[in-house]
Amino acid sequence: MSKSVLQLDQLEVVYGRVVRAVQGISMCIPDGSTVAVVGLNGSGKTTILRAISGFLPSENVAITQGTIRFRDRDITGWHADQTAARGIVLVPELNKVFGTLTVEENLEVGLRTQSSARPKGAITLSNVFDLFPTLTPHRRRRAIWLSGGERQLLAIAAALIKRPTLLLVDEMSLGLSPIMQRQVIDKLKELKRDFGFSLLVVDQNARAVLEIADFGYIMENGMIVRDGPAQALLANTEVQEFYLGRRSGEGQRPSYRDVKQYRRTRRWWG
Amino acid sequence: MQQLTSVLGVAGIYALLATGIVLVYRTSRVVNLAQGHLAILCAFCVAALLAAGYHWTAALPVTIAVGCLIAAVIYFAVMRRIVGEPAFVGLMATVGIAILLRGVMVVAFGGVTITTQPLLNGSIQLFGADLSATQVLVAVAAWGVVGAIVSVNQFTSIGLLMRATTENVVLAAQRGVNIDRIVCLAWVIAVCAAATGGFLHSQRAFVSTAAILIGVNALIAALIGGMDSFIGAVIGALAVAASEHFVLLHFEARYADLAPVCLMLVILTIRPWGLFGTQEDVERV
Amino acid sequence: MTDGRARAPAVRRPPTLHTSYRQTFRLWRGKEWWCLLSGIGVTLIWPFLVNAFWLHLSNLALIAVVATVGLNLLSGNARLVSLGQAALLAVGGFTAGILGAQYDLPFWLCLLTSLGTGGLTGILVGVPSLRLKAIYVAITTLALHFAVTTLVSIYQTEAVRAQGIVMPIPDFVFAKLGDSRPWFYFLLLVVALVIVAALNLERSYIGRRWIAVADHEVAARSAGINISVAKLTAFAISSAMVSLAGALGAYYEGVLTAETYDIQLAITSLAMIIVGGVGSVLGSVLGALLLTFLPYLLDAAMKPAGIALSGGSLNGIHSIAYGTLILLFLVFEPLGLAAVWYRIRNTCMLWPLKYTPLEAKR
Repeated sequence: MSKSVLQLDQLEVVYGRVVRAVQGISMCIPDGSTVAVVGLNGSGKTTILRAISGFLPSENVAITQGTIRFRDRDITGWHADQTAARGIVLVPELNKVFGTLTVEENLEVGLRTQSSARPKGAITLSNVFDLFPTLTPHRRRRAIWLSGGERQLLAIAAALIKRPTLLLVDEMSLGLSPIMQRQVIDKLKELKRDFGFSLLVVDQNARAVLEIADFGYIMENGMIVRDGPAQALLANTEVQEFYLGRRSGEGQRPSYRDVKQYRRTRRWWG
Repeated sequence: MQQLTSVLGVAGIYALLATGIVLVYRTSRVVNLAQGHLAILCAFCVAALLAAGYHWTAALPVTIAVGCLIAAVIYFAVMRRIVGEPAFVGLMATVGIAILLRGVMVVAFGGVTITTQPLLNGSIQLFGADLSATQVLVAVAAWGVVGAIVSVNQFTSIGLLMRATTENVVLAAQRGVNIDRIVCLAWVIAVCAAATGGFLHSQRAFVSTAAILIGVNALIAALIGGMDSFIGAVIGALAVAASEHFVLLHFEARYADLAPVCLMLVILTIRPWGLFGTQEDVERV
Repeated sequence: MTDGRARAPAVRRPPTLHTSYRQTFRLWRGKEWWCLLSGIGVTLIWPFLVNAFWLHLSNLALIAVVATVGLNLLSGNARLVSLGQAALLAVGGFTAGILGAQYDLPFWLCLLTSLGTGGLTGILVGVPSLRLKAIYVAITTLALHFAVTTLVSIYQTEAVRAQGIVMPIPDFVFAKLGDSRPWFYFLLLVVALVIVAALNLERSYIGRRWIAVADHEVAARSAGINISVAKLTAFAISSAMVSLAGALGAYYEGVLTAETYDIQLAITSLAMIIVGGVGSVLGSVLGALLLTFLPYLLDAAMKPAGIALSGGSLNGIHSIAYGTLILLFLVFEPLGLAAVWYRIRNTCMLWPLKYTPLEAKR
C-alpha cells in the first residue's frame, strides 16, 4: 500500500472558543491519489484546507486537538510559509489571483519566491503557457480582465509553479458555468497525470469531483459521515439522493412518507 | 524661475516623505504619522556629524544606516507584534513612535535650532536665470530618489513582490512571499526616504523640532493623492507645495499651515479616497 | 421532614457571570460594595492626605479626566479618531474667557454655554466627516485644530491685545473657588456627574448605536440606525464634554493663553485613552490620572538618583516616557489599564480558583 502523503488524526478546530468547525476528523490521503471532500456550506471543508496549509487566522481560531502529518512529519499549527516551503500549496476559494498584476507577473511572483529547499522543477515561465494555452493571448493583460474560468486556470497555474507535492483546491467551481467547470476539472486531471502530485479537492459540485477522485469523504457539520472509494460513493443511493441530486423513483411526485424519510435520514446524517 | 525651483525643491521633499508614507501604507495598511519625526531626527544626526567635522560623504551614509536600523527596530519590535489588531492600533503605534522620537531628539540634540552649511554654494545658470545651486540640488536629489523608489516598485522583482503584498497579503503569503521581509524592506525604504528628505531640508532651512511639520504636510500630500498611490503622492506634494507658496506670497505666513489642510478638505469632500486612491469599502485608519 | 440530600456547597460565582439581561446593563455591575465605598472615602479625604503641589496636580488630573472621558466617547466607543482635542479645549476655554472675563457672566452660565459651543463645534466638524473613512476623519479634526488655534491666537493678539485673558475667581453656590481644596471638591462633583453621564450613555441605546456604527456601518444601517445622526450625536456630546473641561481648565488656571492649546495636547489625550483602555470609562479615568501624574512621578523618581536636567531635556524625558508607555501598552496590553485592573480584580475575587472569562472586558 502506498505511503500516505497527508494524514489527519482526530483533528478539531474551534473558532472563537465557541464554534467547533471541525470535530474529530481523521483522514488519510495516499501518495499520488486524488481525494475529494464534499458537503454543504458550513460543514467545515474549507476549514480543513486552511488548517492543513496554515491559513487559519490566528487570533480567534485554534486547533484544539489532533494532529496533521505530512509525510510522517507533524505539521500541526505550522504557518503558511512553512507549509509552502514543504510543498503544500493551496488554491483558495476567493481572491485567488492578483488582480492588479498581469498574468505573467502573477506567475512570476511564484517563481521569484522559490525556496531552495525544494528540488528544481520543470515548470518555467515559458512552458507554463504551453500547458495552459487558453492563457497565452492574455499574457500581458491584468488579471482582473480575465473571465472567471481563466482566472481559475491562472490560479492553478500559479499554484503549479510552486511545484507542489500536495495541491489543495478549494471550491474551484464557484462562479463557473458547467462547461467551464468541466474544462477546469479535466485540466486538473491532466496536470495531475503529468506532474504526479497528490490532490485534495473540496467542492460543492459533488458529482464532478467524485468522478475524478480515487477516494471521497462526505462531511456534515464538521464530521465525516461517509467515506470510501469514490466510485462506491457515487453508486450509493443515499449519497445520490442528498448530494448528487438524484431521487429514487424519479419522475413521480415524492410522497409524504418519502419526504419524512428523507428528512429523518438527513437529520441522522447530521 | 527662482520661485519655481524653490517650490519644486519643497515639493520634492514632501514627495519623498509622502512616498515613504504611501509605501508603508501599501504593504501594511498602517498610516505612518511619525514620518516627519524620522526625517528631522536624521537631519539632526547629519547636522551633528557635520558639525563634528566629518565630511558629508561619511555623515550621510552613516545616518542612512542608522535610519535603516531604526526602521528594522520599529518593524520587529512594534509593527510586527500588532498585526491583526483593529486598524487604528497601527496608527496609535506610530503616534507613540512619534512622541518617543521627539523626546529622543530633544534629549540628544537639545531643543535648539541648527543651521548646516549648505553643500553647494553659488549659483547656476539655467534656463536663462540665476538659480541657487542649493535649491537645484535639493530639487534634483529629491525627485531623483522619488523616481528611484517608484522604479524599484514597478520594475524590479522585489518590487513585484511588494505589489503583490499590496494587493492581497494572504494570497502573497500563500505564493511564498516572505511578508516579514517585504514589510520590513518597505519600512527601511520609507525611513531612508525620510532621512534623505530631512537631509535635503537641512540644506535649505533650519532644523529644529518645529520642522516636524513637514511630516504633516507630507501626510496631507499623501492623503490628497490617495494613500496607496505613488502618482498621487507626487501630485499631492506638488499641490501642497504650490498652495503653501501661494499663501506665503499673497497672505500672512500664519496662514501657511492652513492652506494645505483646506485644499485637502476640498479635495476629500469631492473624492473621499484621494485623487488616485482605490475606492475601498474596508474600514481602515 | 429531613432532607436526605446534603446541601451543595455555595459556589463562588465568577465576577463576569451575568444571570439575567438586566444585570448586563446595570450601572454598577460589581458586587463588592465595600470596594466602591472605600474608594469614594479615600477620594473624599484626599486633600487632607497630600500637600498643596500634589493637590494642584490632582485638580489638573480631574480636569483631564473630564476631557478624556469625553474623547473616549468619540474615539473609543464610536471609533472616530479625533485630533481636535486641543481645539475643543480652546473653544471651551475661550467661551468661558469671553463670557466670564469680558462680559462678567456668572460661572455656571459660562460652563453651560461652553457645553453649547462645544457641541456646536463638534457638529461643525462632524458634518464633513460623515462621508469620510477613519484616517480622513482624524485629518478633518486636525484641520479643526489648525483653524481654531489660528482663530484664538488672532483673537488674543487683536481683540485682547495682551498675553492672555485673566479669568475671575468663580463663585459657586456656597463657596468661592479660590483655593485648591474647594476646587477639588467641585471638580470631584463635576467628574462624578460626567462619569455617570458617560456610563449611562454607554449602556443606553445611544451608546450602543455608536458601537454598532463603529463595528460595521453597513450592518448598522440595515438594522435601521441612522448613521449620520449617530455620528453627529457622538461628535456633539463628546465635544461638549471636552469643551466643558476646557472651560474648567481656563477658570482653574486663572489666566487664559492661546499658546497652551497646541497639537501636543491632542496627542497626549489620545495617549491617555490608549493607555487607559479604549472604549471604557474606567479606562479613560485611569489613563488620564496616570498620564497627568507621570511626568511628576518621573521627576520625583529621578531626584533621589541625583539626575538633574535642564527644563528642555526634562521635556524630552517626559516625551520618551510617554512614547514608550504607549508602545508598551499597544504591544502587550492593547486593552489598556482597564483590562489590567479587571484582571487583577478577577484574580483577587476568585483566588485560589482560576477562571478565564470569555471576554476580558468586564
